[in-house]
Amino acid sequence: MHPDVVVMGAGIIGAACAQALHRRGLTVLVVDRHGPASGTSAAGEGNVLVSDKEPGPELELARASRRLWPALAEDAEWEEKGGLVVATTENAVAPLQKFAAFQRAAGIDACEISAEDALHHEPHLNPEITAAVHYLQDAQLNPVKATRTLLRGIPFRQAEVSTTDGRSVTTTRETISCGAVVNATGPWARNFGVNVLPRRGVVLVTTPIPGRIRHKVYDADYVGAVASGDADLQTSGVVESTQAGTVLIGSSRQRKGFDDTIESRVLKALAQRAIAMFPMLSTVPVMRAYGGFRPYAPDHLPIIGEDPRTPGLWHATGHEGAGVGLAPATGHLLADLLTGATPITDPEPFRVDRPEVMV
Amino acid sequence: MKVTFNGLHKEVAHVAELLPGRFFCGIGVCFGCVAEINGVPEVRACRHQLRDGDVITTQDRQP
Amino acid sequence: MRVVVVGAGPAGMAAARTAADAGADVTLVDSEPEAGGQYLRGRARFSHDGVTHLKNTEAWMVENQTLHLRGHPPLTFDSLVIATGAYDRPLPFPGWDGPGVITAGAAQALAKQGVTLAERVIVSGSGPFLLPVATALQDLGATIVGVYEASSPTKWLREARAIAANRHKIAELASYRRVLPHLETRTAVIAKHGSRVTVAKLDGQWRPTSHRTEHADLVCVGYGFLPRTDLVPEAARTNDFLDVDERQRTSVPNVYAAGEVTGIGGADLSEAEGVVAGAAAAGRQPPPRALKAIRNGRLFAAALDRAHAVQPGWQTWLNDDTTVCRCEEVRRKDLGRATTMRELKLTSRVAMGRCQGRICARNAADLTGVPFDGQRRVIAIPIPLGELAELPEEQQ
Repeated sequence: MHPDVVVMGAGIIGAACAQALHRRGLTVLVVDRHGPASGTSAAGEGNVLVSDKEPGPELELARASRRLWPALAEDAEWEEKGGLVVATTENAVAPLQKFAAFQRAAGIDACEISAEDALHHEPHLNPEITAAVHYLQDAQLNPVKATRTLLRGIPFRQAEVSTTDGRSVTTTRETISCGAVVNATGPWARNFGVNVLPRRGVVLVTTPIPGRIRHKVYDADYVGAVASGDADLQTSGVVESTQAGTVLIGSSRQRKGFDDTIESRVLKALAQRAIAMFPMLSTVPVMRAYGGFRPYAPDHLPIIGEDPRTPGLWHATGHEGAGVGLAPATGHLLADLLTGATPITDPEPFRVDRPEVMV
Repeated sequence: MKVTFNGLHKEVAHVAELLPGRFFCGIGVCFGCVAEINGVPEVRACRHQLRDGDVITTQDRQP
Repeated sequence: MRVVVVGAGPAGMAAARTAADAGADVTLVDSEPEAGGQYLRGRARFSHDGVTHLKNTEAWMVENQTLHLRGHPPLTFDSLVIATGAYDRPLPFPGWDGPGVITAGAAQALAKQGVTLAERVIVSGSGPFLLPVATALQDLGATIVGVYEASSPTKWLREARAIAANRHKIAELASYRRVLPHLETRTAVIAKHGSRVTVAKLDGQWRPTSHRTEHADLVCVGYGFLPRTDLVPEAARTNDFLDVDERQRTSVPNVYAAGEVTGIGGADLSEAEGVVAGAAAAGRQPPPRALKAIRNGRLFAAALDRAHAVQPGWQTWLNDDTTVCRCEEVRRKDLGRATTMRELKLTSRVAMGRCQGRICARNAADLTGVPFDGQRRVIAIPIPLGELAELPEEQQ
C-alpha cells in the first residue's frame, strides 16, 4: 500500500485532516498506536467555542470551524447550547465587557446580559454574579463519536510510528511509503520535531442531574488562565452538563510532563470554583475524575503547515485545549496547503518556522 | 419499620423490599439502590440502616 | 510506624491485629457499622490493643502516603494494607435487570439480617459460595427451587493436589448437606420473566443445550467475584486481582494487599494473607505458619479458579435488547464496535453511570472483544463536591 498521505494520530485533528484530504480525492491511511480518539480528544468536554478567543488568527480558525462542524457532527450529539461567561467579582466586570466588545467588533455574537437575565438562563447560578455575556455560537459534541464519523471510510492501522522522513513512516511492524505525512500526534508531536509540550488538565464528572445546568458556563478569568504560560497549577470555573445529565467541571492547567496522577489539591480547587458559580453543586457527588494532556505550543497558536526542514512532513498540532473546536478548519487548511488550493484562512500565523516552534 | 417511600406510607422490614429491580448487589458497589434518604441525595439505600420515620425518595433518571 | 488497614473482613482484621502486636500504630478503616466484612457480617466483635477502628467510614483516594476518607480527616501512613475484598460478578440474561434478581452476595447479606425477600428462591452461578447462600436462605424458611452450578463438577477430579492440601474445605461441604439435593450442575438461569424462570442445561462452554421453566420469586446470581481495587488504580494486577509478592506487597510502594483483592480462596486464606501483610507492613518477618497456610490456600484458589472459570457460552444467553449496563440502560445492541475500553464507553455509555463499570465493564469487554484493562477509577466512591471543596490544605 502506498497512500498519498499517512496521517499519524487518530485524534480529532488527525481525523479532520484525513477527512479533508480524503474528500479531495487523495488516498489516506491513518495510523495510531491505540485507536480513534484514545488520547487528548477523549479527555476534554467536546467544546466548540468562540467565546474564549480574542480576535486574531485563532478566532478566525475557530469561526471557520464553527461553520463547518454542524454538517460534520450530525451523528455526534451536536448541540448548540450556547456559552455563558460570568464575572464573579466587581474587578472582573470591566475586563469581561471590554473583551466582549472587542469580540463583537470582530463579528462574534457576544451579548451582554444582566445578572437577572443570566439567572433566567441558568436558574441555579450564584445570584452574586456581577456581569454576564451570552455567546450564542458556543456548541458541544461527543468528540469520540465525531472522530469516528470523520474517519468513516478511511483506512486505519493500529501501529506506533517510530520515525518519518516525510516520504515514508516506519512503525514497529513495517515501513509505509507515501507522498506526504501529517503529524497530528497532539501532545506527543515533539517526537517529530515541533516544540509542543503537554499541559495537564483534569475534569470532574458528577452523578446525573438532568436539566439543572443548560449552557457551558464559565468564569471570566478562564481566558486569562488559558493565555498564561505559567507551569504552576491554574484553575478556573468551567461548568456544563452532558446529554446524559452528568455535569462536567473544569478547568485546570498544569505543566508537569506526562505525569498523569490526579492530585487532591486540583480536585479541591475545581470543586471550590464550581460551587462558587453554582452553590447547589455542593451536595452533588463527583463519581469520576479524568485527566488528559493538551498539546501546548509556547506561543499559544496551532501549528499547521509543511516543515521546511523535512519536505513532505506536515504538522497539525498545538491546538492546546481547543482542538475539537478548531479541527474542521485545521483539516481544511492543511488540505488546501497540501493540494495548492486557496486557503480557507490566512495560514501565515500557523506556519511551522516560528522561532518558538522549531526544535 | 414505618417509612415514607415516594410519598406513600409503607411498613417494611428491610429497605430492599422497597426497591425491587434496584436493590441488586446489597453491598454498596452497584449503586442501583441510590435514593434520597431523609433529605440527603445519592444515598446507597443498602448501606442505610432503616429507622421508623425515614423518608425515602427514588431518584429516577429523566428521559 | 503508622499502619492503615482498609477493610475489616477476615484479612483486614488479621492485618490490623498482627501489625498492632508488632508495635505499629494501627488504624482499621471500614465502611460497615461493625467489623467482619461480608463473610462475618454482624458476627465479629473486633477490639484490639493498638488498633483504632474507624467504622462507617469509606476511603476514596490514596495519594502518596495519605488516605482520603469521607467524613473524616485524611490519615497519613507509613504502610497501607488494602483488604477491601470482592463482590459477585453477575452475568446478564433477559430479565436480570428486573425485579426478583439480586446477587448471591446480596442474598447472603440480607439473610444475615434475617431477610429473604421471597418464598421461592433459585441460586444460580458458579463456585462453592452458592451453597452457603442457599443454606442461609433455607434456614430462614425459603423454599429452594434449585441451586444451579454452571460448571462441571468433574473438573475437580483433576485437582487432587489442591484438595489434599485443603481437606478442611471438603469438610465444610457437610454443613451444606441440606441444600445439596437441590444442586444441579451444568445448569443456569438464562432468562426470567415475572416468576417464570428459564433454566438451561449447559455444555462445557456454557451454551444451553436444553431448557425448562421453573417458578421462582427470587433468583440470586454470582459467577465468581470481582475485586475492589479502586484505591490503587495504578497497582499491577492479573485478571484484575492485585499482584502481590511473598510479603503481600503490591507494585505500589508501601502498599500491601490481603484477602480477596488478591484472589478468591476463602476466609482462612484471607486471614493468613492478612497476618503476613500486617507483619510486613509493620516491618516484621511474617510468621512461617501463615506463609504455609497461604501456599496451601493458593493451591485451592487456583483450583477454584480453573474449575469454576466463566465460559464464553454465557454470551448466547443475551438477545439484542438485553441490558448490559444497568446504570445507563445500555443494551447489547447499543455496544457497537470499539478498539479500546475508553472508546467503547464514550460511544455507548456502557460503564459511564453511577457504578462506573463495576458491574458491567468486564461483561461489556467480553461481549465486544475489547481488551479489559481493569478500570482506573481515581475516585473510589462518589464524593459530594462540597466535601472536596473543604479538603484540608496540604501540609507542605
